Amino acid sequence: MAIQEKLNAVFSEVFDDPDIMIHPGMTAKDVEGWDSFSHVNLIVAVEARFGIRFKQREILSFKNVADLMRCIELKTGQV
Amino acid sequence: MLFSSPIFLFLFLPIALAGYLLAGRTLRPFFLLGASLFFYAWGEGRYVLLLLASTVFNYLVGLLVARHRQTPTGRLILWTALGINLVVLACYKYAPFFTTWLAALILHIQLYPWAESTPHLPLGISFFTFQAMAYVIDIYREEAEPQHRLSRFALFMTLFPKIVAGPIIRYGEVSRELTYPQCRLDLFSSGAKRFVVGLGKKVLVADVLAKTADQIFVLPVHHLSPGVAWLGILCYTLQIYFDFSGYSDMAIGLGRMLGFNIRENFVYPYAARSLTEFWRRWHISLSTWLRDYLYIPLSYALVTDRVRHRIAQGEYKTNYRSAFSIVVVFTLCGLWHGAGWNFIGWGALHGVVLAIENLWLGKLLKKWPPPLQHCYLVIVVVFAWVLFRIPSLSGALAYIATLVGFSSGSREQYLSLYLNNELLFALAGGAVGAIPVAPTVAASVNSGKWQWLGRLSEAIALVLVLLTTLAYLAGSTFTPFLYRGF
Repeated sequence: MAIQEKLNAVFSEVFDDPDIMIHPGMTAKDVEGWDSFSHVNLIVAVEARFGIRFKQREILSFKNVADLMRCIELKTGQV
Repeated sequence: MLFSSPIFLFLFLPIALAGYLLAGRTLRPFFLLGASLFFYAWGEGRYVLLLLASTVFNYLVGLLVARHRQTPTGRLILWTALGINLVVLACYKYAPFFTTWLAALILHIQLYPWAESTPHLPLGISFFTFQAMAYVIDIYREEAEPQHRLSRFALFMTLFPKIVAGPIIRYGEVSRELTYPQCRLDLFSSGAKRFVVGLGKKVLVADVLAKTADQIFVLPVHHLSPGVAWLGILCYTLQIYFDFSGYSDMAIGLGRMLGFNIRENFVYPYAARSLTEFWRRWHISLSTWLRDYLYIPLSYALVTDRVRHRIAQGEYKTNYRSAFSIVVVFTLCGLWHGAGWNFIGWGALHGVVLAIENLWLGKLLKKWPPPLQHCYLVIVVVFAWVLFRIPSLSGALAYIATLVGFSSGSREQYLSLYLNNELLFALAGGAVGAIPVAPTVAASVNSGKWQWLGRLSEAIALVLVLLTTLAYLAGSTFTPFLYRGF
């Protein structure tokens, strides 16, 4: 849950939406402004906040928020 | 052999389809490979060897990269392979342009005419090279497994519906069909319908508009009144869309008839409300290629540890590096379209507007009324097409000056010289066809009790389009697809 809350804060900042509520099934289509341009910003912000680094192939592999959270869990060791 | 040529429509296609259906499940891929190589060799002769060389090379690289994924050796193989693919493309497409330009810039000399002579541009080289590069990268990224059978990989590379001008298909999308194409009646019939729609778009709209656009663009700019200049660029704007999307419809339709699901390439791009949205709807197979294999890796690589630290501190609100990446990627996108400063300028202009939209204009645009957003998009795209159409920058700027009414000259050319019923019909058809009217009508008819009427109308319309197209083809001259030149 801690990861989701922390990730929600990153989404809120990147997409400039204080009311955003992320959930595991959320995809880019559900978020206003989540396009390839902001995707890189989101990824870098997630890396900065969680102190992790993604691989190039991982950046393109996230199909929804659940995929992103799973990858963060693996890299931070918080399962 | 163009899709709209009689030899393709009345000889190659019937024989290819009949042979393909009769060949049986196991032999079909081999028959299709043979037909595709024949199709390519028909127009390109010995350059089929280049296509085959690229096929064998990327097939071997795919196998090799799969053994060394995510290792320094794998990375070295990947970069070498990508470099070789690009060098081959550059030799055929860009060498004369850059050698002439560099010689003039650095040595201040004009090269002898032999050095300026343009080598033959092998058909579809930009498309099959990008497709092969995506295949190799996908294997390295573990997004696809390599194809072990050379014949199947060769079919992926040479499949005739998409070899001329895409769509740039991804290996993962067709890997199953390469072994067992799904030959189904419903797929065949929807493919045939799509092919007729594409043929009609090309012959009845694009080719008619092309005649007027060509007549106007060949004239000296100072002879044009603003009205004629607008007619010229509007004809070209609709021509390029109907030409390329018509071709894509035919490619997708042929693919379905043969049991391949080829990705969509256009979704009413002129109905977009921003340039960002336009590129989600225009030449989608190229824009997604650029996004996945160039933009995201580049903009990600440009974010240094210092920037990452500033982001973590909340000090880095605007990502100018991503904006810079967009300009770089779209300038290269322009270069991909052709070796010329006008193409580079067209791409760079798109890149700059996209970057501005992403930095601040996009948010502002959303507050505008929708009709104003559409006007903005059309104006940006239309003015950019001037750069695309006119090879010299000075010529393009003079044309734009005429469009906005700042031209001086004799203005001998008036609108009435060009307007005739055929053109007006093509313009009206083009304007209606460029916005999603047909799917909206179809959705409303097909959902109610009038479904039978919708189907009947569709059948009648398609037969009419086919008959009119064939009548036009019988009486018309040769008109190549615009995008086959890229």
